[in-house]
Amino acid sequence: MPKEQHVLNIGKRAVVCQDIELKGEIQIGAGGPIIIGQNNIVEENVTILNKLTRTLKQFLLQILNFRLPTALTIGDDNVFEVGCYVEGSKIGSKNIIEAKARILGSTSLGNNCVVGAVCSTKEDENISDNTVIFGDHHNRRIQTASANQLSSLHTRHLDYLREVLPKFNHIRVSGAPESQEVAISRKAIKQTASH
Amino acid sequence: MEPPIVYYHRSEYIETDTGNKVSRKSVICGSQNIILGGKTIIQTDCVIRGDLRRTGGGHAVVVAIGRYCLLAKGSIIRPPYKTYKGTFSYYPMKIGDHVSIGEGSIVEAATIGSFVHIGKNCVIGRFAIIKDCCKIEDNTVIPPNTVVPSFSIYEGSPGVFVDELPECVQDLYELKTKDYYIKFQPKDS
Repeated sequence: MPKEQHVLNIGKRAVVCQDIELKGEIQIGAGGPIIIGQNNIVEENVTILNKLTRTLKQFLLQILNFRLPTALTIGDDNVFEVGCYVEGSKIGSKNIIEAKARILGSTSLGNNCVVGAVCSTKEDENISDNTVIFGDHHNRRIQTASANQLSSLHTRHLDYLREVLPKFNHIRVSGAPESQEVAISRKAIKQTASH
Repeated sequence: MEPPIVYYHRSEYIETDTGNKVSRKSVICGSQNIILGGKTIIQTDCVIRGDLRRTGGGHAVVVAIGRYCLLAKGSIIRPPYKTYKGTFSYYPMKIGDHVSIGEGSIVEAATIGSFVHIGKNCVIGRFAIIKDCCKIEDNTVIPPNTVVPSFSIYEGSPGVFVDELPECVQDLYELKTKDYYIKFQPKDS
């Protein structure tokens, strides 16, 4: 049975805080079971889970001794606000997942979608582009607002964070040899686990 | 009804000279930009983002919290952001006295007045203004830029006005927060 591997790849210009908990095969930048694209903002207490892989993988591991390469792909320019919970099978680009929103099961999300605060999707659905989920009853509508304005806010926000976060938080300089980086992050994971 | 005494492990909390009790298991970023008025309790797993400050030089207060406030477990305080005249910036947040914020609530308001009670698992949107003497029920979502007037109760998603509070609520909340602070006591072992 193959061991659970800790493979960590973080792309260029990504800012990752030190006390972050990254488990399993995660790639920030390109390729792997959770693939996070470029220019995403992930705020505090966000959970991004590739549940589909895990349950299927465990099942198949027992029977076939085989690892399933189903990846949770996340596109570019998304915002995951505080405390949101993302399972899903695919997330497009330029989405906004607001505070405490939940994307459940094997749902796939298109582009330019907004999942409002505390809203959740159903277990398994395809949400088309420009959908907005809002309100008490998780109502849907198609958004008409200009995406241009949002994307300029997003790029400015990114610029701000890239400038400010290194001033106040412990940042590991990227470009260190990968093996070393993985070792450090493993240590960090152990530390967070022991707290 | 008399609330019970809440004990905490002595080693878990740091008590400052002004009587603030801050959990060691909370995440406080940019602490030099955060002002606590005194006798404020910050519980386990709280996050306060003092690092997200206004662009431009000079000393900046990012989060100002008054006296006798309670930030319950897992609550997150982060300042609001917007672009104004083409520049992106985070803006300071001010929280008054005798404010309690429930477990798991997320606050991105611009201003919260005094004598405000925010329930559990609420989301207070960016640049919301909550005036003095308000109550936000559990699981409420206050949308961005909302102004919650004094003596009102808000509930639902999006939060709407449901009821009014009596005038005595100022004294009630003052007593309640003071009582909680006094009964939040250390215990060894």
